[in-house]
Amino acid sequence: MHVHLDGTTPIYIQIAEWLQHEIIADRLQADEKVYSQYQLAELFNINPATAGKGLTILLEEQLLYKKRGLGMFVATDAKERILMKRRNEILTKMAQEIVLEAKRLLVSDEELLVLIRKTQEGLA
Amino acid sequence: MNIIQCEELSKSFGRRHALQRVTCAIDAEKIIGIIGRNGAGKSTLLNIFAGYIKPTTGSCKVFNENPFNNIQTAANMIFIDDRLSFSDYLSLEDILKMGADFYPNWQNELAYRMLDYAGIDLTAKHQQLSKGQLATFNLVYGLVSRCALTILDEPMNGMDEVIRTDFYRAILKEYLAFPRTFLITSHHLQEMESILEEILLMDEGSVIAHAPLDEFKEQLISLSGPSDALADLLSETEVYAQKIMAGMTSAIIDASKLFVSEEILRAKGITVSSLNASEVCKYLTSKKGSDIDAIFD
Repeated sequence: MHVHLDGTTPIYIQIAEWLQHEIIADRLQADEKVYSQYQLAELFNINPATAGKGLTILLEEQLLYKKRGLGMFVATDAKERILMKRRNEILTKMAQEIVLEAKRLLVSDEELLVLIRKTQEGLA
Repeated sequence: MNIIQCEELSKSFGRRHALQRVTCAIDAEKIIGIIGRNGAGKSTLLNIFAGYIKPTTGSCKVFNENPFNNIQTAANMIFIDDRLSFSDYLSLEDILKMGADFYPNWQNELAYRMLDYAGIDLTAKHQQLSKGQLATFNLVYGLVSRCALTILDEPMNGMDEVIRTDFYRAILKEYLAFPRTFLITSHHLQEMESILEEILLMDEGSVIAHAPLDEFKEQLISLSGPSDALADLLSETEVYAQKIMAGMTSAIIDASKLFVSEEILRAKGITVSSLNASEVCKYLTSKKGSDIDAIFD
């Protein structure tokens, strides 16, 4: 398995991230059945309860849906929503870094906003 | 559903208190790691669960009955440790045959396949085996008996690293095929951590934590950053360990007592990182301020 389980990030979060990655890469497609917690346990050599927790995260974000007695399936708009979420997260983080760096360099709020507007115009 | 319930369990050997008022419950069909330093009381607790020794005070119920000298416990429980011994006159094959007669869920064919994989000769006698082979045979015996309560006390002691990794996987696969309760002790938490559902941490004869693995790990976090930025934060919380070097401090604290968001901390140059399970065990069980360096001063 090409995922390396590292020691500090909780395993169930790594499983949730791996599943999202599989959805983005189209290896798990819309309305396709996903792995059961037992298959994930076997695949990653982890406790099935931990694998179940990873699936629950996606279920709670409605990236997966349940069919009674059949298991869990990929939500129709799952890929789109994961991409959207990632974009927002990355942008928020970059914005934070810009604001922090501006503070360190003693750039005022007005100067920073002007800089951003100028950058936008330059790229338009 | 609980398969073990103990209340206010204490055990003394002469003046030594091996267990002190332990109250805990073990659910059915979970893999649970029993962790603790040497002398923490792990083996004593497991021996009481197995019905091998009697508690001094308090009560212990296994499958709803007192386990001591109890045939129901004996038939549904297996206890594997390095003291497990069999008659000198029997070959390994004969020992397996006896197991098959006693345990109703016994998997003889699986035993043959696992021992063949490990390169252990079935015509050998138990005490002719090397230390690592002995541990492997005993663990195979424990796995194929498929007992509702399977207790493995340091099952990988003496095995080489390759076979240890293989047999942790074997435990997981056996559990998936036939769910049952596993209680496993080990001094190498890191190598078995991924297959565990819960951790039960013991220290000085008491159970000091019993939780799902992730919850257990998340109870402590590590903060590091400029000492002056951290000073206020640390004065308001319990600090498990602290290192100061060239104006930078790193400290281990209780995660539930941190009320400041990660963004605010980051703005002050403080980074937050999580710990792995064995680090959490180390900080929860080491005496405050104890340090190997101190004895050389």
